[in-house]
Amino acid sequence: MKILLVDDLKKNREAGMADLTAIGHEVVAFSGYAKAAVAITESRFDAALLDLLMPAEAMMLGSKGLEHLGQEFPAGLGLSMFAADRGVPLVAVATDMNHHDHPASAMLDWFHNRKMRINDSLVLWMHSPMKAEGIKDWGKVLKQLESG
Amino acid sequence: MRKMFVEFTSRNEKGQNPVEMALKVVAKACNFELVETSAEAELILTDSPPKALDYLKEHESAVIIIGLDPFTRKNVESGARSLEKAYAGRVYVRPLLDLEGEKNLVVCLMEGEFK
Repeated sequence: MKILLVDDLKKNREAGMADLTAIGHEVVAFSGYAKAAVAITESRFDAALLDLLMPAEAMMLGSKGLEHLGQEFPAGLGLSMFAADRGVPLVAVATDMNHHDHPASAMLDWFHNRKMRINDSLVLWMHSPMKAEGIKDWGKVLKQLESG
Repeated sequence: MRKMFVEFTSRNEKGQNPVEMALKVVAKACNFELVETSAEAELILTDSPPKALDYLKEHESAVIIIGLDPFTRKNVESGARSLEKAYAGRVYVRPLLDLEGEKNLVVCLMEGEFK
């Protein structure tokens, strides 16, 4: 599969790249949502694996909007909808943020790792499985997304 | 000796920016080791908040200093201050030309604030 991986943390991107390529996937990774959205528009992906909270980027922002630059917000939700709208068949948003520590993470509890059908895409919003080193296990996220 | 990468782009292309060249001279005089790529750096000096955000995501520990150019300060300061707040301890904002009550970047470097 050709997989889009988006996470602002380098350690999560690198681990995801290593794990997913090791099992034969082609991975295109980005550290932010603006370039990822362009990639979704320009390329065809079989799956998108997305971080939930990402720092706000300068895209479209004027001086008032730039007061939000770098502040984390649930960009993964919007990006997942965009990916579904653009026909990416499998889309997951996974966060390692504790649900007691951020309202967007707490909101993911509503979904209990259930997959949703949006357009023709399967979309999963979830708390990320983790590796022992405190790194996201994107391989398990993909497995859960693919499972019946 | 801390490794520093300097990239100022607001006035001219990289390598020909007079502010960048001047800051490199100051950095050398303050015993920083100038490096060619941001990947090698412990300190990154830039005038662009969006670039600072890119550096934050590409480097896990490098400290980013955003220098506010007086000609572009009005447009970039809110973004720079937002990054400084979001990444306290990793991002510092310092003016190139100090207003009342401020300390400018060159003085900060010379006084060893980032040693």
